Amino acid sequence: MPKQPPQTDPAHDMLINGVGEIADSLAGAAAETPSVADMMANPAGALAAAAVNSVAEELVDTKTDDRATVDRAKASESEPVDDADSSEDDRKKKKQKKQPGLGPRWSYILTRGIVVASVWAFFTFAFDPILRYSAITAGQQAVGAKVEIATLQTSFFPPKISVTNVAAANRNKPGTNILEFESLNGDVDGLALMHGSYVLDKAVVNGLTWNTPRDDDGLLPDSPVPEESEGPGFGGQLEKYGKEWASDIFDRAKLEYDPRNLESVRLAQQLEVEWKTDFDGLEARIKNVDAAGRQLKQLADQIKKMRLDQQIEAVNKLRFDGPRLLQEVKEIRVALQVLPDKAKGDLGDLDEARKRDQAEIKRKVEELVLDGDKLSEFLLGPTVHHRIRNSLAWLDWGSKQASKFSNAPKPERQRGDDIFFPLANPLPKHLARLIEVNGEGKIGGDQMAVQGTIVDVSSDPQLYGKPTVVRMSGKGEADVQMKAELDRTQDIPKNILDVAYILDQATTGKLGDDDSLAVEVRAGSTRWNVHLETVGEKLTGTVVMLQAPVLLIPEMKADDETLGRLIAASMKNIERIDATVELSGTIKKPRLKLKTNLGEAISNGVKQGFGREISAQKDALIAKVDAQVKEKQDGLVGMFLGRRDSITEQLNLRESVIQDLIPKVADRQLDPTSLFKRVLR
Amino acid sequence: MFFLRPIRFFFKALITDNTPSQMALGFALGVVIGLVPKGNMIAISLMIVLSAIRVNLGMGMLAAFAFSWAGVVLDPFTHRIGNALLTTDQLVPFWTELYNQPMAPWTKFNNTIVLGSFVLGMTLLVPIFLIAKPIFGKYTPDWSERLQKFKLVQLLHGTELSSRLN
Repeated sequence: MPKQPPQTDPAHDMLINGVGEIADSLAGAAAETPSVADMMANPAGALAAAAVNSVAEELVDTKTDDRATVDRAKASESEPVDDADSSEDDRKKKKQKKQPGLGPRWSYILTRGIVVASVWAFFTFAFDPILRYSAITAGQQAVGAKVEIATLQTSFFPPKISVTNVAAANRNKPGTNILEFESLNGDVDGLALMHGSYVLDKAVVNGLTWNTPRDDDGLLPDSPVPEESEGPGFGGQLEKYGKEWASDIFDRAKLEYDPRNLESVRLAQQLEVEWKTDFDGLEARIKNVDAAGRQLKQLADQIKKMRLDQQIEAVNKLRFDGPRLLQEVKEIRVALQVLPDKAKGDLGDLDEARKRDQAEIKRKVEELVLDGDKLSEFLLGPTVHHRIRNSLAWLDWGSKQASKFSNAPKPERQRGDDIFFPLANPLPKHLARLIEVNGEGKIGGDQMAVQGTIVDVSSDPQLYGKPTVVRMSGKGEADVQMKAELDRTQDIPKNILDVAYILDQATTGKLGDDDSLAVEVRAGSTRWNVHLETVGEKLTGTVVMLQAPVLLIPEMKADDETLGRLIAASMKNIERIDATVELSGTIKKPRLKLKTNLGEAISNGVKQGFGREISAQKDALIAKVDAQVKEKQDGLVGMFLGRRDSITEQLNLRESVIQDLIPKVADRQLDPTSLFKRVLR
Repeated sequence: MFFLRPIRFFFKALITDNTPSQMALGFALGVVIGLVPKGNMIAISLMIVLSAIRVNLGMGMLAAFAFSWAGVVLDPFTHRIGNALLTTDQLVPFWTELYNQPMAPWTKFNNTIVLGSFVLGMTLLVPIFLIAKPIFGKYTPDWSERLQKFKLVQLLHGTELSSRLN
């Protein structure tokens, strides 16, 4: 039977030809095979090219097969063949046709290009956004406020990361950013990455600034309550102490005379009230005795006019009440006799109070010569306090961040346990070997361009064995050099902060307080050196301030021309201000000890000038207090004696009256015969 | 249409390689992938193997999805296997050496469940293949014939392409 030529479907031909054309075009594209370097530079692109190539290759195979089929069909049309031969050939061809196996075949692998393309699409379009989202989430958890990252890009060959326009809000200061920067470009250590560590070999942070305002408050919907300032806990210790001291010292009019301030005067007034109460009590008892005595006398006078039964009752009353009243008089007399001893004791207390008043007056007057240390605290306390507070706050913040980073909780693994094996060169999970920083911001109130480096920021400093070191230099009107070492390599955290501030410009500042003594300071240059160390909670350090040359112009509010004149005179010789603060205690409760040449110089000047005047003033004040107390004492004694005599006299009188009554009653014997006769009548 | 091309390729990847052996091996590999926790280089490598060799990708994916749930249930068992392997003194030098190799930490082989499930899966690979192969040979008709009946396939491939599958 002759073989019929195969029927060709026009649609099928169209498909074959269309596929062939697509295959040709893809094969052309595939011919431009990317070099290894290109693939390394752009892996995602290389993967895409590979995917395209795979599809192209497969389609080329398909095209070839299909064209062969078409050719065979055409040949069969033109050359009729024997049916038997044809069927035998077909069987042979079928036998020769490669059976599908399990081994890899590149056309099929490349067919999976769609899977590869998906991977490429993930890394191109999803990986960086996911990483950016993760970074924002982690940042927000760390700072407790909004974190914005405009873009985050990564590349794998070579591994790099690039971040732009980062801002982290300050949850304790709504409406401000704790820091922001324009860009961060970092080189990732590929070898470390292969070992599972994220290591930034070198990163450059540009446009760093801090405490900048932001459009919104920066708080998250579920932001925790802003923390109370947990910084240095000395509050306004120096300012407060200095002001209290100055308000006393420079307002000397207060000390001129104010009896209410004297303990002795207050005690005398108190004694006067107490004694008066005692005597009033005794007098009240005497009055009661007097009233009762009068009643008895009246009863005794009326007894003759009474009936017999009434007489019996009256006599009985007289016989009982009379002695009772006498007993009461005796008791009052005893109470009265006790009072002088009590009064003596009270007067002794009064004398002691007078002595204490004198000592207090002496102390206060002597303070008028101006205690150098206290004067230093008053004048320089606020300035020094401000610097120390800032330095401690930065150290505290840095320390907290370092601790937070190094003690970050390990992610909870939900499934299974990790068994760790020793590594030849162990590295922390996260490490930044070198971060170069530049930007600008305010340091100590001065706007400065800053640049510096942050070295060895590690999530596991104990493993890495190196502390984090921050070096910053600021250039503005002043030069600032700062070095902070945040050491978490041991169990007890240790921090060291060194700051040097140099301002070689003339400045005008004010020390002291407008309400008492203010000193205008015109300084040619200013230098600050801060060295702080914390080991665990323990704080040590020194803060040194030097201003030279200086011109000091005092302004005193109190109308004390002498003191003002002496202070001004003593300041004329001061050419430099040299202040040293020694810190101890803890970072939360630091203790400060301030020493300056300023207080001592002024104090000495005033002391020399005031000398005699102050001594005379002291004597006058003491004499005045003595007189005041003596007057009170005399008054008390006079009152005591007068009232005691009065009460004694009253007691004597009442006693005699009552004693007169008792014999009358006692004589009045009841005669039974007479009584019988009176009854018979 | 140009935008349908990737979808066509994807479907093709799912429906080709549908001999009993390919389906059985796809299924066996899918079981291993399903058992191993994701997010590590072992799981990714297995996925690459699944994609690279001539096995039925659709069956592999289906099995991976199904056995991901089974993997969670088997966690206590695989944890014990992994823990035993990782803490055996004789093997510790080997693990230590392996742990020090680049990329090794990303495989998470030092996780008890990852290693336990991987070992369990690899152990079961051949038995599953041997069991699944006759089952697929007996009960599974030609996938392409069935898929042709779906309108979505017809829509995507067109009648011309569907005819190629015959």
